[in-house]
Amino acid sequence: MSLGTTIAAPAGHEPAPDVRDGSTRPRRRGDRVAYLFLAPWFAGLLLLTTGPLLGSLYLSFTKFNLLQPPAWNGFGNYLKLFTDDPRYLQSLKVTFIYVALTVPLQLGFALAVAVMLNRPLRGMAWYRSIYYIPSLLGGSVAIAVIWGQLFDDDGVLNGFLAFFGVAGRSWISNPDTALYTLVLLNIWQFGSPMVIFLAGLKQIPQELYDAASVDGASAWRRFWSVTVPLLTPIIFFNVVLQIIQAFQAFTPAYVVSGGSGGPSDSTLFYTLYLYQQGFTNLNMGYASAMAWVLLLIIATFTLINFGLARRWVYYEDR
Amino acid sequence: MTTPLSRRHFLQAGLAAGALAPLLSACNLDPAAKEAKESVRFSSYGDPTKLGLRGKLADLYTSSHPDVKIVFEGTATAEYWDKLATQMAGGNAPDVINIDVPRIGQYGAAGALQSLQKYVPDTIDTKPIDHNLLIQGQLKGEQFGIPVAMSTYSMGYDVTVLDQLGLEHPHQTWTWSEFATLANEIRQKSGKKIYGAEDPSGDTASLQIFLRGKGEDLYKNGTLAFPDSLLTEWFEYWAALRATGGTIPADIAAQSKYGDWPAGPLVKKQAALAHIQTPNLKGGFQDLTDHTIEITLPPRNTKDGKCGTFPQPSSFLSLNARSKRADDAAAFMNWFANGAEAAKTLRLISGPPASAAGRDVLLKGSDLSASEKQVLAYTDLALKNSSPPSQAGPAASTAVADLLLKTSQDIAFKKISIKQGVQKFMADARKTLDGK
Amino acid sequence: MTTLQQAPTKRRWLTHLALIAGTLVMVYPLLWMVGGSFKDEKDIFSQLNPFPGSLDPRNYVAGWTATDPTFTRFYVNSLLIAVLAVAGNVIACTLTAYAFARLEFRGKKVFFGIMLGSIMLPAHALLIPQYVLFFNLGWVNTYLPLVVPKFLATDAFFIFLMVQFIRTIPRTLDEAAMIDGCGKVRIFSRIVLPLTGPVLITTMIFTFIWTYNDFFAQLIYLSYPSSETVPVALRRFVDATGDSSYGQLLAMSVLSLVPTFIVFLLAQRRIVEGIATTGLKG
Repeated sequence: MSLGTTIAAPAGHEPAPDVRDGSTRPRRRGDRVAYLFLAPWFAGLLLLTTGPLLGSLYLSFTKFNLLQPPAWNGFGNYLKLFTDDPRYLQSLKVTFIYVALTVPLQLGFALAVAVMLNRPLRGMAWYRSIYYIPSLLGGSVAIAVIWGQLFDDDGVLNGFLAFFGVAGRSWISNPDTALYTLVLLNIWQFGSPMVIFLAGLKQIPQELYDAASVDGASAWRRFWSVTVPLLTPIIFFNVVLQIIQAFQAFTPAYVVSGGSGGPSDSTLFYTLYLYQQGFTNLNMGYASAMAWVLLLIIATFTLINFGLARRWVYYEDR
Repeated sequence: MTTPLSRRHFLQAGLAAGALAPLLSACNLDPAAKEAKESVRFSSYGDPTKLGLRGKLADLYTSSHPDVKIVFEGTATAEYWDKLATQMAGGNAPDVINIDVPRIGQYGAAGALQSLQKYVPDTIDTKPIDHNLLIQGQLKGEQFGIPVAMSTYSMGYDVTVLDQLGLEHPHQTWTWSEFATLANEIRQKSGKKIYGAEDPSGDTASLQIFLRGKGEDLYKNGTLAFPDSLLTEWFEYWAALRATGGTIPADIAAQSKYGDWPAGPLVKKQAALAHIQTPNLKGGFQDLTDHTIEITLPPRNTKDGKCGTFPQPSSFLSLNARSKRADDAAAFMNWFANGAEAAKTLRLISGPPASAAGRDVLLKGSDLSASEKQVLAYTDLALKNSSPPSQAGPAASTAVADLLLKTSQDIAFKKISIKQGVQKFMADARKTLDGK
Repeated sequence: MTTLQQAPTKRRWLTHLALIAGTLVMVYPLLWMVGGSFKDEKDIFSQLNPFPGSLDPRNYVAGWTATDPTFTRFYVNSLLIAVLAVAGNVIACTLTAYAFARLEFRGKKVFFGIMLGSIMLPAHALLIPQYVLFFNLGWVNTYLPLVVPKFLATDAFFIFLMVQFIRTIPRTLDEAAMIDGCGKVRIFSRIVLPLTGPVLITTMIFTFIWTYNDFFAQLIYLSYPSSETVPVALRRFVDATGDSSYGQLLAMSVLSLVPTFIVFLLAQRRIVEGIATTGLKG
């Protein structure tokens, strides 16, 4: 994978000793300590990660129905994806819309709430815990029932709209709006980026705020000149990971549409279609090819993110 | 026999991890794992009640057969198939596999299941089992699945609503045009408060009932067995009802998937007519509403025409092609399908027993509940009115079912015309069935 | 430190008001679940009022004992797996993250890329090869496939998370310690580890909750009733092929939230207390 060579891995400010200047000894020693720290990770990589990764890459070049041995199919699966499968293209479209909406909205919301919950007010512990409840529910069966209760034709939202004399419809099962109810579901489950932001906010030294206050900066100014810059590594983490997770989103559509991606394929997420191909239609070779194309898409976005990060992410260790 | 994915394909990881295995297997956390090696594994799906009863049967068999241990593995229905496929791929599937109608063709055709022909009739007695049920577990004339219980397609109606509106109840020999009339009357007489019927236009089981009433069927020899014109007629029939409110609008239809019980239009009192598979009458409908639900035969094409309904196995017992204890497994299957203990334990939980021996046991007992009587009476009626079904469906029948649902939604939401929808469905379904 | 606490009373009340309004949106579904869990099967979906007529716990009693073994066993199993996973992730991911964030070694960029790349393949595509691997290791029907990967730092999410946090700690602290004669290991245990408190707690909370909720791996690798877990057992209450017990489903779903909610409530204080009060100079 060429990913590693281009991603800007965290680099220390002490210049890495150059092999050519003859100072190899300290470097070897440093390597040894580092590899010691990395030993569990290396073991996991060799024993648990590499095999299945290579296995799935191999399967992507085969026809494999899970019941009979895989048969070599060359680039057949990859070719079919882009030339002969309108549902695949639909799943790409749905997923890109979902990523584009859900990542900025969820992260913006999570940051705003985290800042608010970071204040030293009475009862904050309960607020924080209650705001995390939607995320505790995860992909539980109950979510499907609840989301129906909210967005069905006779759901809570329509009851609310009827109050104002507006006749609603079934938001969750209309192809024009179904995807947006899932975007909303994801925003509502904003707990994990919020907690990460909270942890990040706690790393910011209080003295910096005090100093800014002494200089007469308003709360708004303090947010932009102290909070945001010092939080950039954490914001960056959330952006990278939320993009990866949004591209792989599966549970909301699986739970709410009962695995169909309907109505009319309007919530056919990429991984949901992959799942249908692999496990319902037993085309695991095809599903594996889909997985590797998705890996390339996600890797591209991640690379772009790391490239842009140099311009806006500020590290204390630089 | 090789597993679909052998270690060969993961040589590198397999070898590396193999070195670690003895070390870690020492800290095996599960007590059952050690026993399982010498046992017959039996997997099934369903709700806690069903799984509890089947687990109990496995224990009962073990205690009365000292040399065989049946190890029961129960899984919730929705995820059972994912798990089964994964176990198959790894070469670790159970010996006796509970499997449903669409998948027996899929798994049987791929050689994942064993033909039971050599065990019939000595080990497995199929004589008490209805012939129409048996042939649905056959592939190319060989028995691959033993039906356990039967499920019959019926038309359910909301007695409370019909009585309130002063409408007559449907009768056994009603036609599709009478169905439409009744549906429209419900809409009109209720002051447009409720719709007439559900919209089953995307449901393959309903389409099959309609086709069989016309003397055709869904599949024959692994491909579509009906002409374009009949599918057009089907979609047009429901489009007309949709226009008059005789059936629910597209968005309500899309939120009421069969099997998602609380969202069903009959339960939500949005419509007064909807199809019901007999084992679901109680738990999926009657228990969830305070209205009274009755069932009758589905409509026919003409008054004296054939009724399309037929008894279907709710599920089969089948034998893993790689089973190492096939003889013991086959004996257990026979005991499960024909035995009196099994019938008394399972009762009508998946529908009436497929075996006449089992049904006799229940009928002789005097403890039948009202809904059990309702189902038994209807099954009796359906058996008298049914015509022979075809053998197990083609491997891609689940994919075709998804396709029909999507096509019906595209039409209902007016994304495409009926003509386009039919053409697209026929072409895509044929392609899917050909495995392309 | 005191600037925010001196916020005028009016502002404080406005904040409370906004937070309470948000609370309603967050807990409505939970209220509905709790209400439904006390209702009759027929009334759950037909009554709009989320409050039940009575607090009859029959759905709780029936749901808890609907399976054999009962939910007691499932809770023991779920909690055991979650606690082991937490231990694994905290130990393995911290070590790995420290190396990536602070140490120099050959191949660092390549390894970092591989680490991130390993979470870019969707889980469903990896499932079959992983199953084959674990089956050949003899790990199927044990907790090993659910726990061992955590001890071998396969969860890149947490590694990357910790890397980002360690990098917010000024390096001047390391250098001061180095002058005092500390080695890399001492710097890790004396400087970096104590200062990453909030993110360690975050890792613990998330690992606990996500492992507790991760039903798919548990479904695939555990087959016997006695080894089953809470989320897997919960799926049984909804059955498209027969009976569904929605009252019991809701009752058991409510109960299933209790352990994770308690863990979150207790642990989040630690995130917030964290290190901010120690007056670390940037």
